[in-house]
Amino acid sequence: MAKGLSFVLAVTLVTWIGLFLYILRVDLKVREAERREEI
Amino acid sequence: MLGPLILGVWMTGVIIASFLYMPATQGLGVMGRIIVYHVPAAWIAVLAYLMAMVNSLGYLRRGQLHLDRQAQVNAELGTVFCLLATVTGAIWSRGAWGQYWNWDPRQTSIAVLLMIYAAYFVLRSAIDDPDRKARLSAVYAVLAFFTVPFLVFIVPRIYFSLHPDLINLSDRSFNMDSRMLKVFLASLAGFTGLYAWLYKIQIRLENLLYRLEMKRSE
Repeated sequence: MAKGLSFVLAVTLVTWIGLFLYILRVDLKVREAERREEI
Repeated sequence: MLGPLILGVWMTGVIIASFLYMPATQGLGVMGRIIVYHVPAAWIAVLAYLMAMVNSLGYLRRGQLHLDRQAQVNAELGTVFCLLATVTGAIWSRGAWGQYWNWDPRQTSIAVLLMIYAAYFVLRSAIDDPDRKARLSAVYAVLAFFTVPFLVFIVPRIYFSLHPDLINLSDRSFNMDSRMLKVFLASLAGFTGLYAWLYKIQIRLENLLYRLEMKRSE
C-alpha cells in the first residue's frame, strides 16, 4: 500500500476511535445521570 | 454496553477493509474508497429526516411533547450526517474534479437541504412557548421533508451532473465489485447502528433534561 494511503488510513482510524470513545463516555455519563435521578 | 462495543469493532473493521480489502474503483482510483462513508452518511441523513417527519406527524395527531423531542433529535442527527455527506463529497470532488466545490446540481441541492433544516433550528430557537414551538416546528418538519426526495433524488437527475450514479437507470443495473459491495453493505449497517446509538443517547439526555425542568417548575 502506498505511503500516502497508509497515512489516510491511520488518520481515519485515529479519528474514528477517538470519536467512538468520546460517544461511549457521553453514553456512560447519561447512564450515571439516570441512575442518580432514580436515587 | 455490548452493542456499542460491537459497533466500535465493526466500524474499525469496515475502515481497515475499505483500505486493505476493497479494490480501487474503476475510473475513480483510490478516491473511490470514500463511497463507503459518503453514501451511508447520505442514507442516514435521509432516514433521520424521514423519522423527524414521522415524529412530527405523530405530534400533530396526538400532541405529546416527547414526540416533538424525538423529531428534534432526528432533525439534528440528520443534519450532522448530511454535513458529513457534504464534507466527504467535497473531498471526493477535490480528487476527481480538482475543486472542493463547483456548484454541481448534487452539491447545490445538498446545500439547499442543509439551509432548509438550518431554518428548522432557527424556528425552534425563536419560540419560547413549548407547545407553540412544538406545533410550528412539527408543521415545518413535515413540509421540509417533502423537499428531501426532490432535492436528493430528482433534481440531480433532471440537470446534467458529473456526480457518479451507483444505479444505472437506463439499463437498471447496479455496477459494483463484489468485494466493494461487501464493505459498502457492512458500512451501511455500521452507519445505521451508529445512528441508532446516537439517537438513543440523545433522546435519553433530552428526556432527562425535560424531567429536570419539570421538577424545577413544581
